[in-house]
Amino acid sequence: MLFFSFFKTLVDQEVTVELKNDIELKGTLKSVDQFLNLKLDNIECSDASKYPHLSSVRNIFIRGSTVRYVYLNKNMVDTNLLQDAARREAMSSKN
Amino acid sequence: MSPLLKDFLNKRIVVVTTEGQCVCATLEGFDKSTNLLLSEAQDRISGSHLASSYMVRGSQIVCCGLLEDGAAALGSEETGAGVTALKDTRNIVEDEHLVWKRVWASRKQ
Repeated sequence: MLFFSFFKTLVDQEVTVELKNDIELKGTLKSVDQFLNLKLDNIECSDASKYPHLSSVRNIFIRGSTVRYVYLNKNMVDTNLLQDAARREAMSSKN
Repeated sequence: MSPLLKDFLNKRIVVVTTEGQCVCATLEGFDKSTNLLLSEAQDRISGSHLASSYMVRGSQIVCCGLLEDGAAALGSEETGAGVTALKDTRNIVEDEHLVWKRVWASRKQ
């Protein structure tokens, strides 16, 4: 559940999501659920001329299982804190 | 139940599937594994009518976008040509039957 909580802290921030079918979508993260399904608002396709499928779409639901990467701005995440939390969660789930 | 799709109920949406298919339809229902029940499905590229009722399994879904009002099928503007096909991301082994054929042959020896 750590990354679910992590993504919840990123709500209303601008993120770029790369899908497994190579589409990149940039938008404002609106919500996230336990499967890491994402909802983005005001999306912009980085290669809209190649993939016009999502033109005239602003609000999108992305199934978590199809996400390859979520690109975040460096100042949006405290990597030390996240690493610490990840280790702590790994430790607690082991026992 | 995933509440994320609630805002899309009874609205026109674009559904991209792992096969690379792009469907335009009205969302009638969904469940927590993102299985979707759609109605009045038409192909996003050509605009051709696919089915009046359409069910998509959650595992086949890539994303669902809320279609803005007044948006027509892409085909009407670009006739579907020049539109790059979306990549197929199905999780399958190609020519799997050949693999199993060899397994079967080695068993018989």
